[in-house]
Amino acid sequence: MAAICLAFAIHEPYSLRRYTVFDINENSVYQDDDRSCSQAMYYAQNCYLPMMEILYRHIKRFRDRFSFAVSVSGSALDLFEQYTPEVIDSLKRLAETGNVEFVSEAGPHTLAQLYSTEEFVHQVREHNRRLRRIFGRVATCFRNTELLFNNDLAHTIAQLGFKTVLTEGSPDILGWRSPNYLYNSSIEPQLHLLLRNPSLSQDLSGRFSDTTWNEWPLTAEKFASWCHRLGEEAETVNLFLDFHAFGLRNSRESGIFDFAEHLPDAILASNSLSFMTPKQIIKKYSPKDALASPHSISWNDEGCDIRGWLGNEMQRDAIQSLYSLTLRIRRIGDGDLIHDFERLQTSDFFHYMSTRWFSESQPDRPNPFLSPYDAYISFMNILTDLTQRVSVLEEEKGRKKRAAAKGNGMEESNEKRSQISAKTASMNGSGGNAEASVRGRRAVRKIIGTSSKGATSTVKAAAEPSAERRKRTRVETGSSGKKSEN
Amino acid sequence: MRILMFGWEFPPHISGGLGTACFGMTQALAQKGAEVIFVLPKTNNGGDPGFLKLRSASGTGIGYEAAQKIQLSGNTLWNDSIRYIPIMSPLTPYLTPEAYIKAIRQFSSISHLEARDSLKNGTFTYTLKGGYGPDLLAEVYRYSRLAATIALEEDFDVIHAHDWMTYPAGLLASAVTGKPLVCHIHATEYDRSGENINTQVASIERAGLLGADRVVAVSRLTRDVVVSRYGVPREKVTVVYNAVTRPEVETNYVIPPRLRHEKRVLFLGRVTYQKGPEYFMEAARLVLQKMQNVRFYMAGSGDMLPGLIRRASQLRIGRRFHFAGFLRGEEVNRMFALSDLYVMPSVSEPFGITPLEAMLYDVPVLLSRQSGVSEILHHALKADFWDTRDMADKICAVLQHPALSREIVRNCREEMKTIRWENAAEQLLTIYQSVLGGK
Repeated sequence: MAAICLAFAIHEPYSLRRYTVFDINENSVYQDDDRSCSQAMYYAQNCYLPMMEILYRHIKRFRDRFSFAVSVSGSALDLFEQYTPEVIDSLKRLAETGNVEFVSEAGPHTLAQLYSTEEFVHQVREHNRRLRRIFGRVATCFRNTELLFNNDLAHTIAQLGFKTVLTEGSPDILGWRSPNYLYNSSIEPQLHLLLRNPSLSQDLSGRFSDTTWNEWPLTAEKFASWCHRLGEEAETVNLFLDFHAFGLRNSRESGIFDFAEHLPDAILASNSLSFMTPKQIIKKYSPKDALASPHSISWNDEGCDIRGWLGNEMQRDAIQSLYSLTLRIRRIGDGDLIHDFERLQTSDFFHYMSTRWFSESQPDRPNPFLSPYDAYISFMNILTDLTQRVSVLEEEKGRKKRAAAKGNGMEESNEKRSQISAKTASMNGSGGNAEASVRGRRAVRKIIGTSSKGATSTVKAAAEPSAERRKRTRVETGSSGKKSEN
Repeated sequence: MRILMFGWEFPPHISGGLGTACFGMTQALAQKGAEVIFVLPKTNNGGDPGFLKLRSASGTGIGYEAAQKIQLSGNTLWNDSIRYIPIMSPLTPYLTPEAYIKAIRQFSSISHLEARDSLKNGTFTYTLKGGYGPDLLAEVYRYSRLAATIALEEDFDVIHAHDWMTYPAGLLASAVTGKPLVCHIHATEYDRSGENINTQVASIERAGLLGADRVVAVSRLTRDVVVSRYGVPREKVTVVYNAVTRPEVETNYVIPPRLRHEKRVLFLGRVTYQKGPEYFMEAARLVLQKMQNVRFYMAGSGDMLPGLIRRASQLRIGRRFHFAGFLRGEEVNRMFALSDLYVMPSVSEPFGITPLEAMLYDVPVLLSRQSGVSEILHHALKADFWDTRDMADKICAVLQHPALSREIVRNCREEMKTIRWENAAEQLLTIYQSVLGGK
């Protein structure tokens, strides 16, 4: 008996605004909130809510015979929480049935793994925590952004305690092997790999509503018969699907919801197949072989590589400039700054800069910019503004430190700082970003609190390093004095 | 295949893009084995490129027989379809008194419509000046007679007329010889003048486009204008995009050391309403607020130039905004090669060959979306001509991010490989075949 492993990927990016050179230093509103909102509402109505309802009914009807895995990106969670909380409720209801396994990922749907391990680990940990908080589930399975996978990822993920990674059934790592078995990583043998079955997954997401396809129209029975045939020799058929396949990439009129309605019946008609989640699969099967992936692979339609996101010079310039700020931003630790920094890492923004798919971006994930060049220009302008914010905050921090070391002039610098953060908070508010403005307000309150009562305590805390520094300078002068004696 | 081509410009007798386009087109047609007889109003000595037969209309003797034929079909044509009323008057709207005096003086020097030079044996001829003088309509009228005579002398299959100046000639030649007529539209009167059109020119344009067996438009944009303004049936209009001829000798221009720390942005074209030079200046003003080490060059001349020079001084950007005047040949190439960005902010541009020329020198281009060439250049930066902030933003981006300009150039170079006159000639030959089949 073979397993059908259904794994849905839920991801929605925030829309970036057309941010021009004239906005730099004038405002830090990077997002087009109207667009994000209307998109979230549209997607919820036409895709998420109806499909989740169908999945819920299946679980109620088939009970333990129907289960699946789902991953929700951090930016999608943010969007749902902000604009369409009913989607979160719907997900919670699915989680309560116990038949849904939640899969973790790099929170803001980023490519951080390729550029900064610290940043990546941080994002994964945060996302794990968030999944547990919202859905009460601890994720043991991981899928990277765009199903990206390489040996380094295997190493990092195994250290984080994950048991399984979902990735693409790319010929690059499979060679002659079939994707329909359980594998493990060659460098981290305890880490299991589940590989997407590219053709069957594509049948559902890409080809389903293509009337020129010779298998069109695809019925649940026909699809199930393919799975059954495959199941005779395979262990696990992995269907990893973008949730957009239901209602967006394939419209309601294409009959995709009817298909989803009838699929479990058709699959479970014979006893040769059963629905299983990654957790169940690694319990039942053992890895057939160890796979290595020195290069990064992804579920990009053509080539399974990362060129769709990092293929041209603009994309690499943008992402390198962004990640070159990582250390500085984490060191400052400013809430608003980190929030914007994480948002900007969403992989979609780099995909918009791709010149390979100029004319044919997916209609359900439209490029909000008129051309890849416009996307790059806006992104670099945003990055310039972000960099300047970083410099300003660094300067503030430095000045504060110096002031603390001197032990006077505290009030003045605190006042200035609270002024600045009040300014950023009001900017976020004007953009309609409720969450950010709440956080801004909190930050202001915090600063006001310290400025009213904590002046002496900060001086105390700062006194120690300054004493140390004095000692160090004394040692240095001593040594240089020795040198001159010699 | 022999083609009788009527055109108003041909290098080196050139004023704008029309001549450049005719040159590239005929050269490619000749390479495909077509014979082209190109009739210009007037040729100076030399300049015959060798791949076609260049004929000067001016001074062609019109014999008795030819005159009769032309008279017969010519008068009906001229009077019925064109309805050009040859009242010779210098009156044009919005003339100031001073300008009127000037116009009157110029007018008195213009010869009468039918002023002819008699030759021996009862033949006669007209003398044409060429170019776009104040008596252009009279020249167009005389050119049509002379061109029709040439048509009676030559042996050919198809008539191909470029722009409205030669449409009467095309119609007349087609009428006297019975050969099919292809009218090529490079720019409509609505592109040149906005809504304040010259009705005489527009009526000639309409007559030519409606009378032609097939119309060739340089872009979808122009096709739409032709269809909506003149009521030409859409299926009669084919779009054939222009292309660009690569220079045979590639010259390497070295940026002088004194200029290396600066960036240069170029506008090159007629300084007239159609080309949107004032939008370029406004964008320059905005860019200079954000960047220091940029220079803007405006090359070309036109009626808006004095006003713009005043404007530059008012804006206090004169130190960074330079007027290079009208450039020719080598100077143009050098200007392109030394630029970091070429901007074409045209208000209305049926095609626009200059961005292609800029791309030959690996210069990234920023086009107005209201241009025909933007239909085929997917990898150029584009902005609406009125959105000067957007334009300024893009100019800053190109100058500040080398990755952007490299990526644009790389992709444009790839794209340029498909933009060739050979392809255009191929399409034209198919059109000739189809109009011949229809006859």
